[in-house]
Amino acid sequence: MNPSLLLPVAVAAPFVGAALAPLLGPRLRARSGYVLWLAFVPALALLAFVGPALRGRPATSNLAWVPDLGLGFTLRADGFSLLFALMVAVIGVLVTLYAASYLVPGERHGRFYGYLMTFGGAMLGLVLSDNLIALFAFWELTSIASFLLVGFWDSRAAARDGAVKALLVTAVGGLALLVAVALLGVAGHSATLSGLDLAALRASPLFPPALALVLVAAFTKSAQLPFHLWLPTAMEAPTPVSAFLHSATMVKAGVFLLAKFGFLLDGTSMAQVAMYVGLLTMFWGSYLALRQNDLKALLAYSTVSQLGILTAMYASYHPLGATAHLVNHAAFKAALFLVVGIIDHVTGSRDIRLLSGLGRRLPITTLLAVPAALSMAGVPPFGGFVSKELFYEAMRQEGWLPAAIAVTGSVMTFAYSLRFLSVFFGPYQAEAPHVHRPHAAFWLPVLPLTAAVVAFGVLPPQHTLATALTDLAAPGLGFHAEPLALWHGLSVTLALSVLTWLLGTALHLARDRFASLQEAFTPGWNANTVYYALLAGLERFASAFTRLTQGASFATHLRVLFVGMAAADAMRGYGLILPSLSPVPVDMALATGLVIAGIGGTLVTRSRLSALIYLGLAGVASTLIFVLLHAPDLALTQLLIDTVTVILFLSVFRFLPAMRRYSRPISLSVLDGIIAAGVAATVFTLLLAVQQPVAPRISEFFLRFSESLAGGANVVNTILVDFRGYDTLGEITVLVIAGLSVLALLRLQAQQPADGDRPSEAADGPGDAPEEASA
Amino acid sequence: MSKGPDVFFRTLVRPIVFALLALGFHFFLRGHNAPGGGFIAGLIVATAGLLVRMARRRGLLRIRSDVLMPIGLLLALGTGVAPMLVGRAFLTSAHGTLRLPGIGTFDWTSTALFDLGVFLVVVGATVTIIDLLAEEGGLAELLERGGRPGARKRADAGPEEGDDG
Repeated sequence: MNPSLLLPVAVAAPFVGAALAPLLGPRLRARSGYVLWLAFVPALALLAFVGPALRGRPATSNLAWVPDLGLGFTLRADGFSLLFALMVAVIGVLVTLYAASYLVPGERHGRFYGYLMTFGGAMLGLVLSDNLIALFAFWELTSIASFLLVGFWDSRAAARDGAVKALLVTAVGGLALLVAVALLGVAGHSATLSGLDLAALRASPLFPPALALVLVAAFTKSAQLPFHLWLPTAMEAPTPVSAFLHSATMVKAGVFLLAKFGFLLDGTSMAQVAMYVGLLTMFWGSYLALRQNDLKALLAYSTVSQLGILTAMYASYHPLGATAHLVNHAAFKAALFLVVGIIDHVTGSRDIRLLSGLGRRLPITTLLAVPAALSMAGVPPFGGFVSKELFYEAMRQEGWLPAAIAVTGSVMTFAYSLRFLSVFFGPYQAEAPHVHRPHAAFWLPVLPLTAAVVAFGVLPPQHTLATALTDLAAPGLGFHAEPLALWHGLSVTLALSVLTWLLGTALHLARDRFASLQEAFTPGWNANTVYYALLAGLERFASAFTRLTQGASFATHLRVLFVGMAAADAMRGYGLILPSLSPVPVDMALATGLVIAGIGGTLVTRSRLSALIYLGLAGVASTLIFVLLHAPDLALTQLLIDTVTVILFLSVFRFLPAMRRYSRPISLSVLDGIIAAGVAATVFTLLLAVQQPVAPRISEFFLRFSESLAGGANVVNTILVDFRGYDTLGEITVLVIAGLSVLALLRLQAQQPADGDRPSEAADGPGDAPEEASA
Repeated sequence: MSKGPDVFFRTLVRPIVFALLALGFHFFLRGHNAPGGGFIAGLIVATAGLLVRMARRRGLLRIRSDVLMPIGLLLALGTGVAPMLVGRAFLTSAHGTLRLPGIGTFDWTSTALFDLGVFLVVVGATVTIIDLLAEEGGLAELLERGGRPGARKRADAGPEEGDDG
């Protein structure tokens, strides 16, 4: 298969699916999922590139983007990227199929699938991008898709709050990544990840800040302390979304970044910091998971904790164990989320205290859940045990403190896994007296995930399936692959595992006492209270700043604007050489006199109608000036604009209060006079300054080539539509936005705002003419 | 005076609007070689729209004027994207001479389509704004009263005329 074709198609196909979803939604409703999963098929076909990737020759594709800047839309499927892309594709297919059963009638299906597909495409683009800027763009797109999906049930306040929180936190990381990407590109002399000059990068003074920013980006996305707060509230999203974005793929983007940039991190002091952040996150996440009564919240904090494990392992450069755990976690956590979705659907509850004994009523669901939960707990013979052993091994190499934190966190992990399982055992209890068994289409998508959980542990006995996957990642991350096995012989690590199970079981049995202990030691503040305090502070600052600069008084607003403008112009114009003045021709002096008379009349008149007439005078006199300067296009435009403005002004007269004069203190009049004089002086000086050519005049070029290049004799028009067509395109875009805004304000607004006798100052000025397209 | 604006005004508006539309068309076509172009032509048509609105209490166009904005923008954007399909840069223009045997020769340029987009956006935006403001502000009622600025408060305003959008 041609990589230059398949790679872009694999990324683009979900976006095509997203475009089709709104068309399918109204017709097929939830069943759209049975069509749309096909959008992930090209990504599944990337399996064809596994061979070359294993041999260390990744498939690449390059589309020209901005060739002048050396930018290309480069996709590169090295082993690790390929592993991630296949994971996204497989879980994408399963979740899309699952959603078809999960969504209830009356949902906005087109929108849901559209967002979901957009996310899938963005995630595939993120993991396959070699270009740093494209990587950043896809990174941000996943944040936006996550925002839309978390807020999907937007009538719930909690969903809106969760969506905003997720967006704000991940956007901070996105900004950090943007700066990091720029620094890396400059210091490493390349816009592609694979082309970075490592020696130059490490020697550069930009290296430490770039690395720190990469870590901030990774920590926000992967919900590491203290940014973990957004992930639990993101669970307001529909459950397929939680399984796909917030456990299996998107939250791993930060870990992905850490892994990809692992070669940068290796051997720096920041690696130690990152490892401890990961460990503390792991500890704190599992501590909080124990406190949850909602099954989904339990899984959310568990995800935070597991992401901590991945961060700690990638940061301390144990890529083998980290990658093994990455795959295991994706499988068991996605399965558990989907199981919770089923439980929620059939019993109407996710509260652990209200549920028990589901095993007998939902035998298949239970069979699917138990191996996944045991894998999460790190019990053999499932995949989670293998990678948990590797985690212990890695942390033991790092020292006794990391190992101690790892074991403590894992004990709590074991305990909450048992708590999760408790809903399946014991006497039956649920809100609904009879639960209907989920139909096969609902649980079938979970089956491959649970099968993978088992296979990663036991199949084949000596050289497990997970080994094949870590082998694939090895050349991409540059580590030496080793076969993974369930049985490593008697070792300290195994002893630690046994200790974990014993203590975990004890903790589970004593959970009520531990819960009251947790209750007693809950501090008055946490990451959430800090977040809301910061948010409130930002809002206060924003409104104070707005009041100060754009307050209720139009006059104050104008003062701030003019002083700012004059100051900026004065700074920019400082040191310019001014040309000497030439005598003014009589006709020009007359026309200018008319303009001044018009403006003066507007200022002194007491009637709005006569002010309007004076304004018209000033406009027509300006037209005259353009005529005198031999600029017929400008003259015509000015005349038309003026006509339209005057008549439009007439049409809104009835909304305006009568003109009134407000006495203002003499000091304010003096201040306004000074501001006016200052602005006039600055603008006049600037106008003079720009007469002095600092470079060859471009107008010569336009005059010479208008006919030959643009095929038109009217230079003004060829500039507008051809030479500087880009500007015009921007201007008409602004015009459309302005037109639509007026439409929205006047027609779509249900209620006209009360527009009584708002105090308006005498300076109440003429309305703005529509912006004209300037050459 | 009877209902509606002045009868002379109403009578004269018809030929004036016709002349303005013709003028706008003319300015649009000659724009590439003489003063004119999509922007100016658009404004001329907009003044025609104003006149119609003042005389007849209905809009110039039978179709919705607001849809002209996105259509024009897409057209302008399309002429920018089209050259990319043949591997040229965004907004690259082409021009030449078309010889039709027996009829004559015509100079053509691809920027005329871009200019048409500009024209449609300008007409769409201005006519939309004019219609909205005139509806809300009661331009026709204002003219009925002989140009005096009317009631200051809107509370006494009757139901607005039908939405012609």
